[in-house]
Amino acid sequence: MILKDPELDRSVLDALRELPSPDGRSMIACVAELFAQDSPALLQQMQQASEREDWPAVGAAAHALKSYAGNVGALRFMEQLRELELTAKAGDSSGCIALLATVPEACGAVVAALARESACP
Amino acid sequence: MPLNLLPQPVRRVLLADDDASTRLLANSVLSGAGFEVFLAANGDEAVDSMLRDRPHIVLLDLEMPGVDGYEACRRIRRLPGGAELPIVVVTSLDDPGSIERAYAAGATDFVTKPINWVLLVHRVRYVLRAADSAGALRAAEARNQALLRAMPDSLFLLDGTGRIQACAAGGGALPGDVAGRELPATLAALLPPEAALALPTLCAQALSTRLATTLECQRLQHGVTQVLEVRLLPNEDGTLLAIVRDVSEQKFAEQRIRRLAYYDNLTDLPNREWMELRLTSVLMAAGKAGRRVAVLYIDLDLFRRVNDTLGQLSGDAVLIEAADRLRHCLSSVQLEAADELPLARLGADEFLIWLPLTDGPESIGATADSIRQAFEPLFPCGPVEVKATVSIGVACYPADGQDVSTLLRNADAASQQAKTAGRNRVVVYRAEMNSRALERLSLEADLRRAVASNSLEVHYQPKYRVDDLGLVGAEALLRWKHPRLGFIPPNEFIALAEAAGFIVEIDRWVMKRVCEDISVWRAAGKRLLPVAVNLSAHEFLNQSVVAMITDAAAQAEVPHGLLELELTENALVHDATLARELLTQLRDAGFTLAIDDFGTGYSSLQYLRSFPVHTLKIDRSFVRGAPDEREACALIRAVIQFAHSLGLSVVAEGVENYRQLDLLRAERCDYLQGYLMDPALPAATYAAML
Repeated sequence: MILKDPELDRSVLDALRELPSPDGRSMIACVAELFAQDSPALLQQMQQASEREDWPAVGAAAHALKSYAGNVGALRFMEQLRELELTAKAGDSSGCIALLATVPEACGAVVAALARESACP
Repeated sequence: MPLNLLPQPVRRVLLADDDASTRLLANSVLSGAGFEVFLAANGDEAVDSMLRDRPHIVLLDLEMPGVDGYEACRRIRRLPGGAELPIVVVTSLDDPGSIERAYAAGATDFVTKPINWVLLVHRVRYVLRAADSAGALRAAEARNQALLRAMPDSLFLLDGTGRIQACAAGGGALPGDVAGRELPATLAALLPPEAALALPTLCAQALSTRLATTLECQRLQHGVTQVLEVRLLPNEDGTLLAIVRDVSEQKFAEQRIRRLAYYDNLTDLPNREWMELRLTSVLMAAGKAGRRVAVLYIDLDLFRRVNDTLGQLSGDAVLIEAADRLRHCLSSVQLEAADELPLARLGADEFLIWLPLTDGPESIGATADSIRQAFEPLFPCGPVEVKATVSIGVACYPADGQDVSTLLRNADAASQQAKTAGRNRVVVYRAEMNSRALERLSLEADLRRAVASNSLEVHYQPKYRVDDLGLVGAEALLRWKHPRLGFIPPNEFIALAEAAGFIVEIDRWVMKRVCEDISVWRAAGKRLLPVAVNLSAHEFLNQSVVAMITDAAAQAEVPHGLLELELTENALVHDATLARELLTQLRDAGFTLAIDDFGTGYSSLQYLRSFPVHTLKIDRSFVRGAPDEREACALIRAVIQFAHSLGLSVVAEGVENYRQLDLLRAERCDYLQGYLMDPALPAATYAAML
C-alpha cells in the first residue's frame, strides 16, 4: 500500500511507472534524480536574477523549473511556479520577491517526496 | 507480401526542450514506440540536428534559453526539406497566446505541458500520418502537374456559356497565353475570332446532346501557323471540360501525306485527284453563292515530240518551266485563297486552271490569252531551245457543265478545237464543239480502220521540167475516200492523225505503198522516175524514220535514188541538230531530200544552208499570187536565186496557168507541178504516162 503523497499527483506517477527506463531503474527514479540534480541551479538562477531585478530571467527560470515539476507530477509546486512566472513576466517585483521566498522550501518538499517515491518498488 | 506488412522505415523524431526530464521521458516513450529520437536542448541545437539528422517530425518547446522555439520553427521552415516538415510545438496550457504565435511562426500542431506521455506517441503518429498524406497528395499533385505539362493539352473547366471556371495549362496548347498571364474570362478570348464566335453554340450543342464536339481552328502564333483542336466534353452538372490541343504537328504531317498523295513531284503542282476534290468544292461553293467559275484546259502543243526527240529529261525540264510560267501567270491574278493556286497538272502535258468568272465568258479570254502568250518564248532545254506553245480551252460553270467531269470534258473539247485550229490559241467552249468532237472521234476511228484495211489511196501528181515540160517524176499524195463522207481533204485527216498520234503509221503505210507501186511499174517494164513522198513534220524528228524508209525500200527492192523525201521547214527547225543528223543519214543512204512549202514556215537561212537537202519547193501560196502580185514575184525570185546559190534545185507547186509558167521560166525555176499540167492522178493513170 502506497501512501498518498500530497506533493505528487498519483496518476502522473502511475504513468511514469509504466514507462521503460534507459537503465534498469524505475523511470520515477530517473526523473527524480534529474529533478534533484537540475532544480538547485534553476533556483539559484531565480535568486540571482531577482537580486539584479531581472524579472524576465526570473520568469524564464520559473518556467523551466515548472516543466520539471510537471513531469514529476508536482502539481502544487507547478502552480506556485506558474504564479511566479506570470508575476515576473508582468514585472511585479514585490510580488516576485514574496513568491520567491516560498519556492526553495516547496522545491525541497518535492525532492523529498520524489525520494520517497523512488524508494518504493 | 501484403502492402501493409511491408517493413516501415524507422521514423526520426527530433525533440528540442531545455528541460532534461522532458528529454529523458520523451526519448523513453518515443524510442519505446519504435521511433529514432534525436534530442536538442535549445533552438540552435535543434536547427543543427535538423540539418544533420533529417527528422520526419520535430517537437519543439517554445520557451528555451537562447534561440527559442518560435525562432527555431522559423529557421527550420527555411531549411531544405523544412517547408513541409511537421513541427509540433510544446507549450503550457496556461499560455494560449503562445499557440497562436507558434502557428504564425509555422507550427503544424501543438501539445501542452505537462505532456501526457502515452498520448504523445499517438499524437506523433497521427501528425506523421497526416504529413504523409499531405506529402502523397503533393506528390500526386506534382505528378498530375508533370502529367499535364507533358500533355499537349490545356484543360479548362467551362460553364455552359464558355466562361472559364478553372484551368490547367499543359505543355503544348496555348503556351504563353495561359502561363504567366491572367486568365481571360472566357475560352473564346484565347481562340481566333472565327472559332470564338462558334464556341458558345458548340458549348450549348455539347450540353444538349451530351456528346463531345470538336472544333478546329488556326491562328498565327509568333509568325507560325498553329492549329488548335478544341474538344468540348459535357459534364453532368452543366459544365464542360474543354481540352485544347496543339495539333499543328499532326496537321503538318497530314499535309505532308496529302502532298505525297495529291501532288506531282516533278512540277510540285497538285495532281488530277486533288484537282477533282478541290474543284468539286469550288463549284459547290460557287453554286451556293450563285457565282460562276471558268476552267482553263491548257494543253502543251507538240509536247510529245520534245519527249520523243530530246529525251525525257528535256521533256521534264519543259514541264517544270511550264508549271513555273503558269504559276507566274496566276500570281498576277487576284486570288481568294492566297496559299493555294487554282492550278493542277492533269496529265503529261495538260494543266488546269480555275478562276472566278465575274463578267461574260469573254472576260476570261484576256486572262487565257495572257497565259497563252506566256508560252510563246522558247523554252531553254539544255543546249537548245524548244517551242512549246499552249492550246487553251475555256469552259464555264455552270453554263458549260454542272460538275467537274462535264466541265473538264468541254474545256478539253475547246482545247482540242484550239489545237485543230492551228495550236497556240485560246478557244472558248461552245455547245456544238461536243458534237464536233464526237464527229471527230468517229472520223478518227474510221481513219484507223482505213489505214488498217488498206483503203487509203496514194495518188501521183506528175512533176515536169520547166524548160521543156518533160516528165521528171511525181509527188505521192494521200487520198482518203470516206465511205459516207466522200473525199476528205488531206490537211484535215493528217491533222486528225497527228492529234490522234498515229501519223507515223500513215507515213509508213504511204511509204510502203509507194515502194510497192514503183516495184509494180518496174515489173511492168515502165520507165522508172523518182517519186516524192511527204514525211509528216510530226514524226520526222525520230531516229526510227531512217529505218522505216530504208525498210520499206528494201522490201520492195526500190533503189533509194527513186525516192525523194519531202519535209516542211517546221519539221527541221524544232531541233536543227537532230534534223541535220537525220537528213545526213538519209542523204548518205542515197535518198533525195526536198523542203516542202518553202517560205511559209519559220526558217533560218543559216540552218537551211547547213541542211544536206537537194531541192526547195516553193509553196503554192506564192505561186498563186504570181505574176500579178509584186511581193509574190519578188519572193519567188528570191527563193530561186537563194536555192541556186546554194546549188539546190527548185520546184514550184500549184502552177495553174501559163502566165505563172512564163514567170517561172523567166526566173529559171527548175521544175513545176500543178493543175496546169495534171492534178494528182490515180496510180494506174500515172503509170500509163511512164
